Amino acid sequence: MTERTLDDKAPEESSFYDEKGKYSGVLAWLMSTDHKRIGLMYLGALLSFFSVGVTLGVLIRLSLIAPGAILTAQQYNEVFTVHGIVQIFLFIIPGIPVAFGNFFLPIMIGARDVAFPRLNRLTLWLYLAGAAIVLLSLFIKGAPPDTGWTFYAPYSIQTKANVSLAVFGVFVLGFSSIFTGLNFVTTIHRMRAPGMKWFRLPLFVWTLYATGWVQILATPVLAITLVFIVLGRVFGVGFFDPSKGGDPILYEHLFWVYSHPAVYIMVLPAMGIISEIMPTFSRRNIFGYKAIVFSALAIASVGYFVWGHHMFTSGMSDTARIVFSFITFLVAVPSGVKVFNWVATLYKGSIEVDSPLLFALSFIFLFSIGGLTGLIVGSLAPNLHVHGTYFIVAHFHYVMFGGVGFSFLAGLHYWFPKMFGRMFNEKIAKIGWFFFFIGFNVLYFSMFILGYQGMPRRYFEPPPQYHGWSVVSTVGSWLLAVGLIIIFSNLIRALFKGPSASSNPWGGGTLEWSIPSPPPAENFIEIPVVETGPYGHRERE
Amino acid sequence: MMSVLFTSAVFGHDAEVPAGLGIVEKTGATIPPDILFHDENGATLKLGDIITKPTILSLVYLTCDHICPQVLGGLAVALPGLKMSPGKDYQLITISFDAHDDPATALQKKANYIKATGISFPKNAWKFLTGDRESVARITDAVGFSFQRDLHGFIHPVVLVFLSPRGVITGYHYVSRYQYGVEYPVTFSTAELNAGLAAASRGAVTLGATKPVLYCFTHQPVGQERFLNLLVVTGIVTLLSVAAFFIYLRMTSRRSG
Repeated sequence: MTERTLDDKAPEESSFYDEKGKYSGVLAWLMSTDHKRIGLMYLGALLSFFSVGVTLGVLIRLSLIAPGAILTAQQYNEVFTVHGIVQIFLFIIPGIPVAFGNFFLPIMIGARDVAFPRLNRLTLWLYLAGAAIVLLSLFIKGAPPDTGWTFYAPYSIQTKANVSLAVFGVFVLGFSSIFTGLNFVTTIHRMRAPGMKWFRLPLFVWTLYATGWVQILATPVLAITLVFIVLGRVFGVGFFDPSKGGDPILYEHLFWVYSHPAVYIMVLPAMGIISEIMPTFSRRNIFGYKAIVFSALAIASVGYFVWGHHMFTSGMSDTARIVFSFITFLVAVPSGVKVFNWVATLYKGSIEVDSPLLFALSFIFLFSIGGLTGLIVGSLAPNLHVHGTYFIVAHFHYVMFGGVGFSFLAGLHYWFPKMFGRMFNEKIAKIGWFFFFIGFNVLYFSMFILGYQGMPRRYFEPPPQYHGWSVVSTVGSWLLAVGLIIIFSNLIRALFKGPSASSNPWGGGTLEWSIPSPPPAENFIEIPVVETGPYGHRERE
Repeated sequence: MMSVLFTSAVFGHDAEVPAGLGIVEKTGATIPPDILFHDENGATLKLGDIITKPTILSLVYLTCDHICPQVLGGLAVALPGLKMSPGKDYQLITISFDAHDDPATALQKKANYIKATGISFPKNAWKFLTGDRESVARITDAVGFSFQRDLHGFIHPVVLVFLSPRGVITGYHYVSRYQYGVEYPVTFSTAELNAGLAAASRGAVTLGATKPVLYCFTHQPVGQERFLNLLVVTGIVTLLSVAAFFIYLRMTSRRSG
């Protein structure tokens, strides 16, 4: 990047934390339209929900090795449903775009804010409102939702649990997501600094762009589907009820038409973060910049046409199943391109194994396992064998948690100094990573084995022959929890006691590293003029 | 808008079996021997000439992709377990009640189901017959079988008829079980088939049981298609507005990328 002179002026400016607005206290944050404050509020909310989701997950694992001792069967159903809803809809789908995207997208393209700052604030409010409604459904009269996070009809129409409210909460969250996508797409089109041509955009920005389109196009389908559930429950409209002319399979189609692209809403920005970290820590330019860009766009577009692979056993013609299976295989190609490019970026690089890189490398390893097992479940014959077993649970946790979760933590460590102006303890971060990584694999790899042996998912009391590996998996969940506690204690401690961070502690080449840590309120004193591609490197400071 | 939304709820199930459709048992009656049908090779034959041994008669339509293939498939896998030997002690006749079915299709189906038995099943022991409207009307009347053309095929009961070597209807076997998740969801008990054939060979008439009969029908409520149209329209509108948004962003961009 150019405009190095900014660094010299930078220290004179106060950070956005010191900015005095119309309001003070909590309102100074809630009413703020500063993309950085909104990003941080999202980050706080996301991590709070993440901790709730993890706690429920550990509880599920505990219950599975001693069924009935901790949870009743009904409570177990509620806990795994709420675990899914919280982790999927409140943490991982909004996840990277709303936290890191909000904070860094404008900075990375050389802008002072997003295109629609007030719309951005509205998305935060909608997110908080949606989350509040979902949480309300757990505590008001009646039972918490017990349908699983997918709200499959006809059970979601019939159950007496508070499904309507939870579904309405997710509906509101959906609008938050659509507006975020709209805002980001417009921002990337309109707010780029002079000289920031499309192929000079950092790759994280490219993935946010692809994600934005998926959010705009796919999320309305979820919204309308959820409206149908509520209409069915409240007014008895039989969209999914065969006795009234509806069809429960239709629900599955509509749900997965959204929810499979949603996987790419989660994964694409995660890949963007990895594409930022690999060049910085190998001190090389990214290998195959355009290939990575086009593979992101390919994943975003082809990803719309694979939803049927969730329904191979639901009743579909053989032709449809073969086509869905084939397209599923096609999606693996651009993902493979990315993995090769990241690894090639390391080749002959001057690699610094700092914690962000450790998390990023773990992402590549775990995401590859998740992706390759995706090909197993995407082929018709093995799918019939492993459908509805722990193999599927293992597969999507490797993709979601091993992929997106590790990337989220990679991004959190990478950008922590920039966001908070403090450094964390690198050694403790690595120890935390070690427990987390080992625990993760013990927890979920044993599920692959269990699933392959045929252990059905969602069962309250698994058949006794699966007890051994179940115990291994549960021990893994403890190790993982210990890892997370270490990681977050380290970061929280750094918030208050960490040494000040320089403007560019890792030697990153993108624009956010050219401004002070934490950034000033307006990001740039003068809008930079960009003359080269994104990953020219600088010295660490 | 709401009227479109609610049609499916108001019209509801249009798949009720129409009154009068089903089986009126004609146990003890004799099949008219002079009804003409074509066999799989296109040769014309009289029904009386081929019903010379205990026979399991099934009435289906050959282009059915609902329960008929399951019935014939289920029957095929049950045959190796029967006591009597096929072609010698008993035979199967499958007649299509769709006058549009032709011997070529019948030949294809025959090969398929004989293969499904999994044993070297004698070819002459399972005949697939097709015929014109008149022949169809006569045979269905004779066994008390009624059916009705539907939007996507036919609505008809699912039943096996046992015939004695002289063409007397000795009994009906209703298909009333449908098991999800197995290769052939319709299964036949070999004991029941054995008993039916034994009775047929003796010419002993057994009165029908009171089991409810399964029907073959397509489930395609009127409102559903309208509902799907609603989805198509909203989908296209969404796509177009998103495309318009993209074009707008590109056309009015301050700087081209």
